[in-house]
Amino acid sequence: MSFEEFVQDCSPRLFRTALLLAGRDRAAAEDLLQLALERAYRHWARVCRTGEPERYVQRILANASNDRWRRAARRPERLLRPGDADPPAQDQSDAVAERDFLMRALAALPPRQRTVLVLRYFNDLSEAEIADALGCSVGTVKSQVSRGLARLRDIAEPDTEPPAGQMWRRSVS
Amino acid sequence: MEAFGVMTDFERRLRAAMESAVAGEQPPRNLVQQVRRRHRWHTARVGVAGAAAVAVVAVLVPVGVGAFGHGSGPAGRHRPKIAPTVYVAYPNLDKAGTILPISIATNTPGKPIHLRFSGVSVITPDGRTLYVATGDAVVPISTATNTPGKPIHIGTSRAFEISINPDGKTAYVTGFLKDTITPLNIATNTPGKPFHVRIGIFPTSIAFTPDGKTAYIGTVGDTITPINTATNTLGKPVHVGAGGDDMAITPDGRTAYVGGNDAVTPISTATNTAGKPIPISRPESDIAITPDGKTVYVGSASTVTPISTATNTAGKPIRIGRPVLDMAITPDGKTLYVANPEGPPGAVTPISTATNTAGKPIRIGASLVIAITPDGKTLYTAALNKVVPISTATNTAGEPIRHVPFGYPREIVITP
Repeated sequence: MSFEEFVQDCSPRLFRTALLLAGRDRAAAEDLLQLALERAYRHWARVCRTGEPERYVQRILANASNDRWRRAARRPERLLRPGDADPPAQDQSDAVAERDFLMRALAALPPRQRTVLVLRYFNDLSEAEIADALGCSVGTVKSQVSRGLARLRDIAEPDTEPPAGQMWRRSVS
Repeated sequence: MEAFGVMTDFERRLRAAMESAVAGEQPPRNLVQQVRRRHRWHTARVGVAGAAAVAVVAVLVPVGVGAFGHGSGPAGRHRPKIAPTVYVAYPNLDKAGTILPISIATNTPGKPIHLRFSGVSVITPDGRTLYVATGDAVVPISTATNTPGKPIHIGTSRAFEISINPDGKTAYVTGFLKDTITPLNIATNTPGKPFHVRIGIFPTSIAFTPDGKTAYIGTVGDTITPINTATNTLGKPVHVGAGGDDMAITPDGRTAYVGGNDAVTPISTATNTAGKPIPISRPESDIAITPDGKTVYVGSASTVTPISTATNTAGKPIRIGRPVLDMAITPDGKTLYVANPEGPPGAVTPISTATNTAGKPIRIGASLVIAITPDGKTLYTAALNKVVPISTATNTAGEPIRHVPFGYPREIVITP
């Protein structure tokens, strides 16, 4: 498969992953995808020989996203309380409003939790596959998924009270 | 959805929200051009950094005499009575892999060996065992009976490349998901403790020096890292510029040639320092060295470039006019064969190493991988739906061997 064919076939799916990883920031997602594809382009013959070029690029994407957000996290942070995300617009239907709300909450998660949730629920990767992709243990993936889900639920469903004094942080992007 | 088991209502809503949030989103139209532009920028930048890095690399193990490099196959020392066999690996057949043994005596296919996935395959120097990387395990296959043994699990790092030390005692398996190298004891088929490649990610290629004392690991981090095979310790990485992860070592063991996107870099194995990069016009796709060690052939998009190892200068590129995917040199060093996967139609092209001129292409359809028998008499090439033997004496194709698995052949290995 030529690099051009690969980009043609797989870039829409990879771009959507990048968009979710970048908190729906289109410019950041394009940059992320370019970075991952350039790494693959450098070694295309070998990447092809893995038999799974898309998985290879997906792994670079997820790791690059984590790195980027790690750097961004060095900037000043602000605290995000449960229910602190912007309220959904009144004229939207409930389902659409909730989806929008969930995505804002997802963007507010710590980068690693956001990455594992995107890989798990958008890319359909198993916990073991995510552990492979991020170079961590399955236990770490499980705990990140469960914490990420708990935080999303708390932000999206503020009626459920978190433990006293607990607040959620997010980096300012 | 089997990866999930039963999802909660909240998980289902989250999944739907993600899908709907990015549904219909398309990447920019000129993505390939953007990537290429970024690549040019990166290459220019790394070139400067690479020149600086050369000054600080360390001295490691000096090496001896012999011939062993990536893609060249292990040199046979012991030759047990094993029927000469060609093994063709087909990685993707309904998400499974197949190894097809073909008898060289009769050119007839044997019973296919089914595996979960068939990646890189190597045969031990004594010819007794074929090792196949199959994801999280390496499967040993007895070449006497063509039956797979118990898979040797190397963890979840996904076995990518496997290469055998010329001493025939140890194999190194690279795991490309967790950047590990796992040593494998060939006598007992047991894996040793994996160790991490610290610099660069995705260890993709391995080449041993002929004396087996040093292995070089190529990574996507544009470096190669020497490993002391006696202690499994890593030396300082040698920076080789963008794309440098495929390599071949000269038969005298003195120089490793590392292919890259726009240059081939010679590395002195005595000092582990990079020499001046030798520019090539297109990214390297395969490297082969003549048995006398005088010439390095670098295959790329549409040409093969000869490099004199005496002067480290590139000669006039030999035009093939089609992408070069795989190359093989006859044991007498007289002919270099080049596999051209694209057509119309695909072919195997012989090149005289005396004159560096291409002969008439042998048209067999898309030739994807090639290998030459140890006696140098026959070249086998695998195309999409057949394997074709080619006489190297007359450069003519024999009767195609059909009834092969459907799919892209990944590799051909031949018993020593």
